[in-house]
Amino acid sequence: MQQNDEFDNEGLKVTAELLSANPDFYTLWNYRRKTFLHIKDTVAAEELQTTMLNELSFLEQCLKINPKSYGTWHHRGWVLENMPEPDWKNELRLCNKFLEFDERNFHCWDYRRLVVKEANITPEEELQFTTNKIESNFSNYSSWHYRSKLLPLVYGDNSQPTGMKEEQLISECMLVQNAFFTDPSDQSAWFYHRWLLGRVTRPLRLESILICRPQGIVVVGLSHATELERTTKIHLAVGETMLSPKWRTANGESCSTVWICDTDVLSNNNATMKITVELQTSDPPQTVELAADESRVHWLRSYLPGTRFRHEISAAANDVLTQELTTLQQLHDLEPENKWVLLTVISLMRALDPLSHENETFDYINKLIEVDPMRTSYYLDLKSKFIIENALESRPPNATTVDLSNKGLTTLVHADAMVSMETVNLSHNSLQCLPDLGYLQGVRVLNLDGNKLSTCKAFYCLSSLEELSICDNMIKHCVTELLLLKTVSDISTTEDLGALKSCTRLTRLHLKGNPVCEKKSDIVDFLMSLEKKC
Amino acid sequence: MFRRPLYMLDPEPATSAAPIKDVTIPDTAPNTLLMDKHISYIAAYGDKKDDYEYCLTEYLRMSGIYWGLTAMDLMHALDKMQRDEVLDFVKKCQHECGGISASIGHDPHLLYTLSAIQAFLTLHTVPPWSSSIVLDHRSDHYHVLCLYDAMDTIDVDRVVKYTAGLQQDDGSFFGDKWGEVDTRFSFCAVACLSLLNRLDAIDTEKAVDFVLSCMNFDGGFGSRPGSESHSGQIYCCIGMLSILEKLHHVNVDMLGWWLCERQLPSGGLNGRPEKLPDVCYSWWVLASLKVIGKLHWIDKKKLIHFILASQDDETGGIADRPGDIVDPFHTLFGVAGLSLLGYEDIKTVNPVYCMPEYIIRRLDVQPQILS
Repeated sequence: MQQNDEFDNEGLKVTAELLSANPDFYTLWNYRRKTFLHIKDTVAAEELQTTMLNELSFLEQCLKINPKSYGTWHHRGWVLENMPEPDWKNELRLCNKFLEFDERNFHCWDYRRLVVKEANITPEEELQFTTNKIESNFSNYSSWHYRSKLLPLVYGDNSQPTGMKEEQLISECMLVQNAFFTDPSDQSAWFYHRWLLGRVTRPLRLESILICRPQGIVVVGLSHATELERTTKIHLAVGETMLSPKWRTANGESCSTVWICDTDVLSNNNATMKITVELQTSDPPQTVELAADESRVHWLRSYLPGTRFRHEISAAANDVLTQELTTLQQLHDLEPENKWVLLTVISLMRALDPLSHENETFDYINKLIEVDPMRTSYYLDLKSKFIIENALESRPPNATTVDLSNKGLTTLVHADAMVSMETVNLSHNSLQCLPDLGYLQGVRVLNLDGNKLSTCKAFYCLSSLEELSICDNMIKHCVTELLLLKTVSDISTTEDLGALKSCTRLTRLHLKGNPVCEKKSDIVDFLMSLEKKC
Repeated sequence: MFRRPLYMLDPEPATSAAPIKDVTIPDTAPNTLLMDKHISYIAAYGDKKDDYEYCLTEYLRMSGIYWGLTAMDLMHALDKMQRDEVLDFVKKCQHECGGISASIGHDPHLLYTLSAIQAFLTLHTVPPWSSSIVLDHRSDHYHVLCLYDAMDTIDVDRVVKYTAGLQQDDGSFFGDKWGEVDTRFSFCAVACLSLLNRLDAIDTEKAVDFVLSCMNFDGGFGSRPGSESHSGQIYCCIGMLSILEKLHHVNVDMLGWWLCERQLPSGGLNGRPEKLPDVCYSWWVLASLKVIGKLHWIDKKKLIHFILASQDDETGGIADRPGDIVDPFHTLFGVAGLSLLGYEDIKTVNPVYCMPEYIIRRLDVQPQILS
């Protein structure tokens, strides 16, 4: 019938029968829409209204048979938008009915959001609707989700660090507590709770600066990953002279927390220099002085102990968090095996004081692995993260060494917070793979002995690296993979020649105890290619 | 100052906690991969054209073809598919506007346009069928040649025009001219154009902004701004951001935690909290975790056990969960999931495109994968 452009009642009747049985037959919905558009041009508004009302009752029947069809819900919205007098308030009643039947039907929730917009329902009214829903059944992820969208609209307050009025935050905390005291194993409330306490968007600002004279590089660490040209600029001045440098990332990605600039000004000059770095934001500029006899200097933003990584966990005031922790510890006493309680207690302790709570948090992590063994790797990675954060928190401001050996690490995080480090010891852990280590532009000595690494992909263009020790790992095919050179030369046809140059300082490589050591000729080839480069 | 309500001073442990929704795997369930049976099942599926079930699914035929071809390729059995018949079918499904429909006489839609491109590249990148093509995967010409070879099948320029024409001012995509907006369509458009090497045809920056406006409190994504997170949508949004190399916008720790919490005691994964496990989420959750570098956060052994238990040891094929009726959709996503889990004898699958990795490499497409 479609081929003949026949749009009539007979066609509507046939497609209706087929669609009640198979609402996903999208072409048939299209046919009906074409028919209605055809009718629209030929009949009076009243008749069209009647036709469309009939269509709405047909659709309601379809939804009763299959309430989860994309096509049916979309068609309903189309009909409303194309009828002379749509009754959006009535649609809200329909949504209420269907959500009564299945409170997790996301098709209906999505349709509801369209209706709310068209019917001018206020966020306050909708927030009340979710409160009612949650009070009748706490285990209702869809309602909690909707609340996360509405709460900032209704109680938003940008002067607060959480972005929300504090008394509202507290009363919301109580609603969530009601939920998890009623059913502590229901994950909905726990995910919501995590969100409620943990919203911080830090402004873009400088976190670290590293200047290396011999390599001729300025390395700038930012508070979050940025696409430089698109969002901001980094200005660089030596003395009074503004440079117009080209910034790059270590691995060639377009977005990073660490940006590098190569400049001859540093290496061509042995005098004392004042180097100023400024972001094109409200962040104040930072100036570092590189003395005549120095080859490198760095600046790090200073933090009160235990606050360096807090933004990732919570923006709420300490008294709110303390009260939450007390309540959660009571729940923990009642439900010592409950993983959600354990995880939330850990999170609150980290937000309040990661250093003094260190041992307790590790005990709780071990408990988590015991009660939820399926997610062991997740918990171990979390523990590694805490260990690394605490190590970075407690280092003296001018330290250039970080010792993370023998800590049972399963993952390496926050490499971008180690930009200024000269010596990084990660030996005797359980690292199986590494993130790109391009952030470690200042590292001269890197120790990864006694891990479980099988490739060396991560050691790509570390411009200061002089000594790499990677004994007792599982590197098998060495040369193609280990060969920094080979990897780099493949890429060098693009634009990484500068990076290739910066790899040349590696002079000591310890490989003992890897399967690859059995292939002597490969190793010799590799070392020769290293020499050629120097 | 914060004060607890009275009733919490002496809270009682919950006694009426809802039981976790999950399934029990029977001891008799299969526990090895019945690859030969799956190959026969898929090979035979298209032969039963008069079957009631086959007719009932005509509205998604094109996707069915892509599911079957990919599953077969991953199981080293692509040669058992009717290549010419499929290509002829794809050709007949392309419309004047450039869009491709699920079946002949149906309307064009982005969902089936992507499936058609996936199916067609799978058939055009495999030797010996592509013997007319230079098989040096490093050659820049390969892509061009590959498409050139297929020019008689699909009018690529029109596919590009159709896809780009569905982008809206806010960066979102309609699924077809009838105006349904969904992040699934953002994925379809970007995946399709990237496979055709024609991302320049759309405003990728706006496309990314729209997808990011669908991000939620749990780090996941929904179908439209305001919509609840769902593993299927997350897969689409993560895939789209990966192709456009914008994964830095993703809160990896939060999303990874939410995704690994999809695993239930049976080992299977659900798509949202408090839902039953389903084999297709082995794909959507797993692929998303792979792309953000957190595949190891779930228990691989238990998930393999769940997928294997969802096989039908008589008919072949994989169902949504143990004991249910099998279909090609769950068969592909079960096999692809096993591939991501490193199950032996299955070809490596690309987590973003759900196509064999060797095809993606030959096309020189490199979606971003976090380590």
